Amino acid sequence: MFTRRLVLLVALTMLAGAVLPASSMTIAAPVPPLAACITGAFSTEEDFMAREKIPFDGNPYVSDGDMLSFDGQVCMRNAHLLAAWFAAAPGPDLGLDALDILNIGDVAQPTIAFSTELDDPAARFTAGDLLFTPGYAIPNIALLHPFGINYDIGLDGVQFIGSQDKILTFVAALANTPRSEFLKNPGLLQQLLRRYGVDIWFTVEGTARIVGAIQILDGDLLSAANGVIVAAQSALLPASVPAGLPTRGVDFGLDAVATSRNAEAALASLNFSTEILYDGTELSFTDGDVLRMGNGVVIKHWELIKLFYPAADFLGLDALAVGETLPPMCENQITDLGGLQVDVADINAAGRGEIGYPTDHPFGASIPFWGTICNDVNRFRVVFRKHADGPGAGTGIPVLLAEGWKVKTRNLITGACTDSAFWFSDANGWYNGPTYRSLLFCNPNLILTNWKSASAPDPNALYRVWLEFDRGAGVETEPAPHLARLDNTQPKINNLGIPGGACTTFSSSDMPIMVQGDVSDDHFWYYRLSIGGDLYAEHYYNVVRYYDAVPGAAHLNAAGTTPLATLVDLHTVTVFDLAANPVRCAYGVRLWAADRTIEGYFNPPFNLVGGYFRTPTSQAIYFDYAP
Amino acid sequence: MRRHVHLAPMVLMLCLLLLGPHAQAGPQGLPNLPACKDLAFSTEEDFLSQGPTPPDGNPIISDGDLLGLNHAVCARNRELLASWQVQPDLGLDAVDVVIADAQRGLVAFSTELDDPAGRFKAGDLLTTNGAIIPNVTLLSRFQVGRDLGLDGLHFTGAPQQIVAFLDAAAKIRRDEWLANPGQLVTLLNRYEVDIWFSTEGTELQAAVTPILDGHVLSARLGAVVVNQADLLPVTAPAGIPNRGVDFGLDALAASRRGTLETIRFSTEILFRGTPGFTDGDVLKKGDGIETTNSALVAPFEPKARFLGLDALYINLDPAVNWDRYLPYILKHALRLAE
Repeated sequence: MFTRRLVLLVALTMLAGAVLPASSMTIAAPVPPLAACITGAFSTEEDFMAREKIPFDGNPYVSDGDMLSFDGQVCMRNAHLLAAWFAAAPGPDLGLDALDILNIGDVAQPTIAFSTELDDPAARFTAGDLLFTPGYAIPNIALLHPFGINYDIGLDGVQFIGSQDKILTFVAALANTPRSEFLKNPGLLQQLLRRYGVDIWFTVEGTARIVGAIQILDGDLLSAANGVIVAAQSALLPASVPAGLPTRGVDFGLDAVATSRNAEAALASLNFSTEILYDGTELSFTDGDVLRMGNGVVIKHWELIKLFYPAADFLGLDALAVGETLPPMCENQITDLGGLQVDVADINAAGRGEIGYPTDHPFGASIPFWGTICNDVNRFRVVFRKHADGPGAGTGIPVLLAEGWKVKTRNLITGACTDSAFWFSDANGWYNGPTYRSLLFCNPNLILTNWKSASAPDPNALYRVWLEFDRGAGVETEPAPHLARLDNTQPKINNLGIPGGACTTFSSSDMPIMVQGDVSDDHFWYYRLSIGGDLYAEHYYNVVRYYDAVPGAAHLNAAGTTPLATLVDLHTVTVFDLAANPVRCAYGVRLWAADRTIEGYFNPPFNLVGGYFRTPTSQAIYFDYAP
Repeated sequence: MRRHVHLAPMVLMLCLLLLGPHAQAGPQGLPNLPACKDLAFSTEEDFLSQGPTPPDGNPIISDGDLLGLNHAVCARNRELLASWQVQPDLGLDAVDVVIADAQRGLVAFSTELDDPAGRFKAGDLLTTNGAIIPNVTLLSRFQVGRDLGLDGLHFTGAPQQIVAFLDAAAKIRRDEWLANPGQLVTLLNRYEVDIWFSTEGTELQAAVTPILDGHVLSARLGAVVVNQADLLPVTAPAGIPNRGVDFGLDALAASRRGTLETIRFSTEILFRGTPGFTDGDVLKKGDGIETTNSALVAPFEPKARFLGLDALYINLDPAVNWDRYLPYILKHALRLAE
């Protein structure tokens, strides 16, 4: 055992140096920041380049086989995980498909359970085997043996259940049980698990039909100790999602699992991700989001990866581990922004909010900020900086006394929230921290500040915004800025046409007539046509969004009509939508064009904050109708 | 001169034999394969079809089944694997429909899982006529020396030559490929065909060129046919290290002529920029979405609009008259006879 530990330690040290550029080899080998993953870790589906914050070894390349922390660090390279099998020289990157951090308290001797995406080139393990950093391997067929499956169907997620002591004792016992032993006697694993009072919950890559009617889906959570389905696919997702076969209709897969080691609490607190996304009316999620059993999204994918500052806001999620208990902490941060109070987790890499529509939304007019100010903060402010200007100092966002912002306060005698007071920042946007916290009692949703974005240096640009705070030792900032894309420009209807042009006289045989339009906006969303005339009630046609699969959207994209500066067909209208026998008269067709901007409003005297989607722009064209 | 007279008919006969009925996909053939003449694909996950019931009466569609236009189930996974009589569903990760014929159908593909009997790996190139080309053999010209998986697959060359190549490949055992991986390039050169493919894994230390799982590779040339960065519109940050992200390449289709502009593909991960796409959409090289995943799967009337896309074949040579065998054969036969 000691020899194994020594080999692992030496290998880890060698590898830490091996992943460095050659020119750095003479410098002491960088040590992987394992402690950063004490609260949990994950891996992505694809490789990417980390930006702004370079990993411990100086290499910005992040592989889908690396173990990543929630605070933007590479805790272990893939080669570190596999060090025990490649002691002589760094091995190839084999990916990281399942992960459970069993013990990283001892940095020199971490115990991590995992699986790879690819087989070992030397055939010592397959991508379906459960591996352990000390160099142990449990073959896939041993995990599946209790289910009567005798072939490798992959390993997608893993979670150990039981006390940490028992789990580590079980892992230590593997030192005397080589992989070949499990292959000869696959039932041995179940015996060992029962002997040590632990279980391995896991998910597989493939679907298997067992003798009889039982079927294992790759979306089911399985128990290696008991040979049962711990949680069927249908139980994992809310009833509104068609999850489970055959009854509800779809197997969404189960790609990553992580939960408590306590068997009683484990199911209720099960975190997982799926293999495919779902775009439903009540719930939507991507295959990179962290979901909670029966409860939908608990961590948006961007929240996991944002501290790596990748060039795309989605990288997939292949493996996930969470610590037994997260240390209690208060984090000074912006949590929401914009008139519709968009969670910062719902803001993508383009600075636009994703709030359930199949598109995203910039911000305009008033942009309020919500957040957390911890007890030790003396003062705070929200600042902005144009993204194109790169890193640098931000400009504070003030709300001055002159704006008359009034908030509720407690009556000194009764303690009730019946009084009011003015609340404001200084000219640089700094607010008093203790006062802000005290105001939360009577104003629980009190904003941090409000940004009149139309007066920003560029009212239509992408900005970084972040919280600055002072706890007595100088100004500190949030770990990462947030992005906010401004749009303070209405959509433009450049042209509107009907056959023959305005004032043409149409007869009943000309109906319906095609309406053409030329619309542009950086964040175009939809158009709508209406027809009216005489005393008839105006008839509105269906809204046509740029992403709708309808003929009326054929010439639309996210920036308006296409091609640019060209009248294109929208859809037809007819006077017969107004009445069965419309009278001879002048009629009008109106085009409404809307962008996706969330416009906020802030009424300081009443401390009212809200928002809406920007009101559409409209333009009309008129014609005569003679039956 | 006399020798030419004797050799030419012999070579001609040999060529005709090669073009004749080749080893088929089991005794039943692939009766529904013609429905995949123009398009074939597989999903990432299993689902229940609420559309017309498939010919075998089973409405459950596996991620290992070969699907086509108009809710066609062109081949169940077990039919694709009939040459090996594999019972479990092993998934379908890459596909190319070489001949979409009920009796003489020929499909090249890869699975998600290894053969339970150990005869092939999930990264190997398989064909319905029983060929197994090991993954390391596909990568032999890249000098990788290990299995990187097989995610996308497309043959280029004249169809009859591809058929001839695959018939020749079916005669070579897997262990023979492994013992002599160089014979793949020899065969590809002989039949003037190429295998374009993408991998599951990345190998930055490859001796020839770094391999990203988002590149289109050539087995014959040992080169990157299309770089990840060139597959996607410039607005997507595709390509490492310059643009920042490897989006992967999960499914691949193109014309038999190997015209780069005809390439269609899907990625491993979605992109939410402009133009956005999901990992289930069919994308056109450099041009974004051509067909959305929901449009692809809609005829099956699934209960979800997205089911992913793992394997893809599109007939992108509709006007090419490849079936005029004789002039081609005569030309080559006479050349060989000389």
